[in-house]
Amino acid sequence: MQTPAGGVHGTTRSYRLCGLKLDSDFDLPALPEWDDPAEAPADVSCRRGVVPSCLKQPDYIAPIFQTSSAGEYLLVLPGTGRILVRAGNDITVEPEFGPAPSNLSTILAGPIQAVLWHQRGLLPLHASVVVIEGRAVALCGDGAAGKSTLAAVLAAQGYHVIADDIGVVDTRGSEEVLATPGGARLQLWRDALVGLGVATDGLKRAPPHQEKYFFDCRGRIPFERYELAAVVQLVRNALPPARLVRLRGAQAANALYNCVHSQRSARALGRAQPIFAAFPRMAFAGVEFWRLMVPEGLAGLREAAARLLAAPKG
Amino acid sequence: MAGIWWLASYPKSGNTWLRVVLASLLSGRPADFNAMPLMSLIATNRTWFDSAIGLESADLTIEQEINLRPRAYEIWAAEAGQPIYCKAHDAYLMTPAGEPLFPTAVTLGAVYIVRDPRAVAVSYANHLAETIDETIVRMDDRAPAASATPGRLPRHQRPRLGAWRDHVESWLRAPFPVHLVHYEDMHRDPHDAFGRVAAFLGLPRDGERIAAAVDAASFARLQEQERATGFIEKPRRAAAFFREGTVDGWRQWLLPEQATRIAAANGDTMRRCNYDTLLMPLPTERHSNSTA
Repeated sequence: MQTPAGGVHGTTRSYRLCGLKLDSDFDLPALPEWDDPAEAPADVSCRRGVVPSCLKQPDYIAPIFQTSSAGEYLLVLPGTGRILVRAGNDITVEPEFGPAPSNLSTILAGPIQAVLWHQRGLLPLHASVVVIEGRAVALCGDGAAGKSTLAAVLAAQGYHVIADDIGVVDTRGSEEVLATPGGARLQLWRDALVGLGVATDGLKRAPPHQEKYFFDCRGRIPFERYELAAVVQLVRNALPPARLVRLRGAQAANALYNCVHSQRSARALGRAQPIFAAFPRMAFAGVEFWRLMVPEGLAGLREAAARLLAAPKG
Repeated sequence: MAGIWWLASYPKSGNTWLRVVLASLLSGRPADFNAMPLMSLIATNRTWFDSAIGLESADLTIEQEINLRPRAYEIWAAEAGQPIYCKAHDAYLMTPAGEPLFPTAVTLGAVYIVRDPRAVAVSYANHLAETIDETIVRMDDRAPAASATPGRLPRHQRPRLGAWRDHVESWLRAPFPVHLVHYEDMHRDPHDAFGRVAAFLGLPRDGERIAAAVDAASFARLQEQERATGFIEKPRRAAAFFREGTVDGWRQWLLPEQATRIAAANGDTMRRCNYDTLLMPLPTERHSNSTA
């Protein structure tokens, strides 16, 4: 890999990416740092380098990204730069103007990470994941649905948070569907933190241009994969009360599809059929699908948390 | 023909009312404003933007977001396969990258609702739970960004409003067919006003269907539904979305100097839209500088 003329490699940092070791030229504060032996070889690298403006043989071209089979994904984002993801283990970044733009780490830890998991044949859900009674529950939803804040509400009641924004699920096993811990670091907006009684003093912003902060629920979480108990799709409701509705059949399959992180990229990478095929495997393994209708505000999220914890089992 | 009809207005000018009428007209039955078939889409819909672009708008800078919005609209239009009706509170403006925010190539036309800015000031102040004086300043702010809510992620992207006068003028200069409808005419003769909108959009406009749609969206019914089910678009701090719905209620709430200030800043555009800039508030004790 070439370094752009005049470009300077920063210090390589190592992170834990759902059990993989990620070596990065860029600061990725959303990810937990690698704290196992430093000499372990990297599974994934994220390097500064030269990135082409287009792929040689793209088979899908969208306004800001293109793909070539499942193995290559190129993001061209004016104001940020170009990012190439190859084979689920190689990320090359060419920032647009010298130093890394302020939202680069957010892009890398979010949609680029999701692309990486799609390339690896795993199922990244747009979810925060908590452990309830020893099993993982994926709290899914669109931006502003309240995933992270609901996870924080549950964390305040003693439940472990094992992922925020991206919940990586492995449906490839014959009997079990497993959720892989990503980290216990939530990204919360100021109003949510204030509502939870957490002072923002001393918390790091994520990213710097927004009133959004990193909030560590607990210390180091052991790398242990959890059986996935449920996929819960959060939907904003106009008025109380919060409601929890069990989804089955086509409704459940549709909810799962809508909960996949970076759906458009996934389709471009040829992942639509595997995602479709994942649903019956998940249902067979006993994964439940729910829709949680959440009223506005923190009170609504607290009520929703109570509904979730009172859900009938089985 | 696929493409987008923009249902555009400055906030609190009757946009939701129009869409409830159109939804009822299309479906032939009273529309639920929390789930209006074909009429629920908003140009600043974060979920639709994120889905079309493949990135979360929350991860983008404001400039990146607005530069990508035309691309999202092109994808919406291409993938819909039928006309889309889309509410827009943004002014018709150029993106920082130098292209129209609302791309002409995928636009079928626009309905633009204009309302007396003195009435807008009173209604918008209630909507935002701020003083009327603060809202008058906001309506005079030529910077395109609407109010920020930096402490949380708003459900929608921020619309780019600009000053009230610029908003109106921008849409009237748009390079595609624009049907101008006055909020006041929607009150005075709803059958005619909504009938003309329906004709412009190529929708059914026979008298009985228009009358049924107008009845289904009467202000009393909208208020009743909001009390019963809430309205997903109501800001948290506002007491109600459908508050008063009158043409000249502003005359009971504005102070004379407030009305004068609005008319002085927006006079040319008000006169162009046939508003009497010399009309003054009524002499009543209800005048207030706080939220009405």
